Amino acid sequence: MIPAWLLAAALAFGQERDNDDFDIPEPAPDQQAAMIWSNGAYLMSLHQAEKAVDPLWLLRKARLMAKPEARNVTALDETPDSTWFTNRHGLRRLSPEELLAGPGGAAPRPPLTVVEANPRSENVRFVVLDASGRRWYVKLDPPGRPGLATNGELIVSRILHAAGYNVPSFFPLRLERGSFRLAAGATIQGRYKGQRRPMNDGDLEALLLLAARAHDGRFPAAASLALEGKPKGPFRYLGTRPDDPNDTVRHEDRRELRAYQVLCAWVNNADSRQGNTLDLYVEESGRRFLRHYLLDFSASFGSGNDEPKAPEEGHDYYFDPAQVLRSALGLGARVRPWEREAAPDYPELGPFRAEGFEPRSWKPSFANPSFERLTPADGYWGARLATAFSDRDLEAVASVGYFPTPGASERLLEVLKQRRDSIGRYWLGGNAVAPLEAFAVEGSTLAFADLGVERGHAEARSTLYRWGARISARPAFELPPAFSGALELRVSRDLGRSWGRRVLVRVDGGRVVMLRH
Amino acid sequence: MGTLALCLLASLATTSLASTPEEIRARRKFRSEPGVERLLAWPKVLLRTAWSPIRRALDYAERVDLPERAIDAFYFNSERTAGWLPEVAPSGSGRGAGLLLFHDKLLERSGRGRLAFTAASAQAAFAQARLERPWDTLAASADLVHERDDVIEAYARPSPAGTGLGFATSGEDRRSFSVSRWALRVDAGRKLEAGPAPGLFALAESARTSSVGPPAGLPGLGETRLLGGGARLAADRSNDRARPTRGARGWAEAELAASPGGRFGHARQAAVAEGFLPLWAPGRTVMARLRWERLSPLAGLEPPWHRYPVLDLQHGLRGYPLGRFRDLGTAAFTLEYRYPIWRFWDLFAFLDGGQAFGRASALASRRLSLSRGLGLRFLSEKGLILLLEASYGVPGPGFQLAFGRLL
Repeated sequence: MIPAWLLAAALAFGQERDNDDFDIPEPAPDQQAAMIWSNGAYLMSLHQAEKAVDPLWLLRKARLMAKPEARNVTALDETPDSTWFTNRHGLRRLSPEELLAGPGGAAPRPPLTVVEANPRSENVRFVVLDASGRRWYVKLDPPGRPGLATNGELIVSRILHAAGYNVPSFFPLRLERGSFRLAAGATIQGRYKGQRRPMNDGDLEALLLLAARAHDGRFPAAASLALEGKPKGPFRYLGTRPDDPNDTVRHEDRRELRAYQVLCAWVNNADSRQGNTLDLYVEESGRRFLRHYLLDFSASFGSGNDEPKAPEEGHDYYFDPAQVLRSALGLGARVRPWEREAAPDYPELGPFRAEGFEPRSWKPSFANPSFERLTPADGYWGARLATAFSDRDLEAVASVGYFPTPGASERLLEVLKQRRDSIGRYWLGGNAVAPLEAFAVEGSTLAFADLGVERGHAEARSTLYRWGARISARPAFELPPAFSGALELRVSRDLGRSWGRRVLVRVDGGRVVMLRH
Repeated sequence: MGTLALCLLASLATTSLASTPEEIRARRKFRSEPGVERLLAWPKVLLRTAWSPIRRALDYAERVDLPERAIDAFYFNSERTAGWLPEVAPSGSGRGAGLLLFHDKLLERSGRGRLAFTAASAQAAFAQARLERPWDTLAASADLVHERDDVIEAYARPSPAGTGLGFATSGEDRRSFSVSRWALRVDAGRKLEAGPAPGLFALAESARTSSVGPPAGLPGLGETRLLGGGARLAADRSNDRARPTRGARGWAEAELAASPGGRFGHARQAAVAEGFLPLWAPGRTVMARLRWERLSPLAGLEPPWHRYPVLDLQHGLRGYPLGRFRDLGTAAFTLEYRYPIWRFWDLFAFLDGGQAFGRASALASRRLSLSRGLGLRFLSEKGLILLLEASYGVPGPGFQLAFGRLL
């Protein structure tokens, strides 16, 4: 039985698409966007300095001006399907089987013929062809920690796909030495980046020595199918792509990119930089255009890719001059939550915790311009995606991971649920946003749903709704006859002692025609 | 008018430098906006103009893998077991660049060889050759040191205890000396990593010292040769050798040496003890250090002056010049409060105090020389250390920069 609010949202959402898939000439690859150092240094230095000379940013920082709202939302404050995002689990709940299937496809068939190896990439990475000739990227785990990096890829890719993002299809593998063959002409990264040399069996053996093995001696691995299309470099979280006429909304003003912060915070994906994105020139329905993907989730949970995460990851940027100055001037008196107690460190999970998790103040390792522009409406939208995952949904997606240590999978689920609930309490159960949805005019009554209550992050008995001077204990208000106009609704979670941010609804001709959180 | 002209200049100047999509858009946006908005945007445009060459340099460095190539420049082989490092010499009154050569796989591929030479200044030089051979829990090393200082500042006045020896003074009675010294020391003992590390050592030394300027009656001016040996004990019960926050560690030595001709000789005792007290949060630590070094005449033979222990910026009294205090004995303490400010970076406040003395009975708190200051330390995951210290003592402010590698 689909809840009424979901049905209403689906009907209201209708068939809206962003129409950003017009045929375009093939763009050149954006090589500069893939450079890690300059882009990271820019975000850590110049980007921060630019804020200090930006009067608008200063006004927003002083709370004298609000952040601009996302620009790719519909009249009903929804994000339409586009080449960036497709509404899935948040709109129509996927079954556990669909969640587990992710983007879909068939697993690779051994033997795997290695055509390329990149030993200096984080974790051991091979490019292989499977028995049916399909191209795959295979990632292994660091020694002594089977599952540390691959669990992130397998589980988080499924979560993000269900949420609506474009991600590669990942499959779990247990490989033996005999699963690998070396292709004639296989190459391996040379001593320096950009250099390649012929690969031999000794190289393969040396690389496999650096990979984790399961108890049975096999290698846990995550294989992602090479995406169909022509890679055109990463997309930037700032600005637009000048050679893509379909790219009309600045990326830092796209809701799905801003709200990605909420999902990254949830799964602790601290490596959400532009280098882990991809613009792919695809051909669909006779049209050729760019589709935008998110990549590389191996730094999720407690994983720092090839080692456990440092305790400050998720709390601070990799380098934050303001924090350094605060720490220096504070003479060590200020103790950050993550300094006090180390999280339990399972080999396949790393230190992943819910204690000290603050959804709004979570930070990736590198500043992300889209995340910085997250507004309450964006955060609420992201929280809707995160809290759409029930306990059963999480158990389904987590089942694809490899957790040899007793208690590790339970630990992952427990922390994921607690972090999800923290997000729900903050965005849906507090005063940050009025989490009201599914507005409908039924006769003379404006009815709506309270996601905070429906998803268990707020108490119905202590919740009140206000429209002007009218206060209601249930999510509905009587409208004057033939009412047309705007309503500002607010929610209180403490029986009226305090009221949260407003939601703006416009009613016209007996229908809700506009909604703004 | 001037502002508009500046804006025009900025927009013209930046045209040819725009290359990334964001930079291109910034230029176009800047040129297309009304005057006020353009005025507000010009600081960003200037910042991005300044950033452009930095970005290109970083991109180039990443494309050609410059760090790896730079690291390889310090190694002689592809396995990176033999190479060189720059060094800073602490000897004499000079400090400067030097060279350290090392080979980690010398001696049947399991011993380390290290050769260091430092040309500290035009007048001073310091060289050291060391071979180390570890076996399980034991290790042996041989150090051959050549030290040459054309100018050593010493403050020559008898110590307050009236021994007629020593240079423990805050007066201005300074003398300059030169020292050329060869020393060979062979150590053997248990490795520190294996627990308490007792060991024995033997030493041989030849030194030539002379006074620059008016002569002074110092024991050991001229040529001295010493043969001797001793015992050493070291222990480390701290929680982290590189960045200790808890526990204690230290070492002590006892040495006997005499010249073959019977003119000079000494008994030497030296010890350093460090304790680390964790505070209210991880990384916040108080460190206390005590140093002691004492030379005594041996069987009526007097110690040569150039072996007198020293208190200076390299020996427990930051902020004081090299060779500032020299006497038969030195005692010093340090208190430091350390706390982390970022990954790999610690800030610390310190108080150093010490006294050089002719007789232990001359030790007195009123004769302590003090210095205090702040420092910043960087310790990378691979053991690279960078130390910046700003100190203030009686002579005035001082600044020290040190760079090295944790061995």
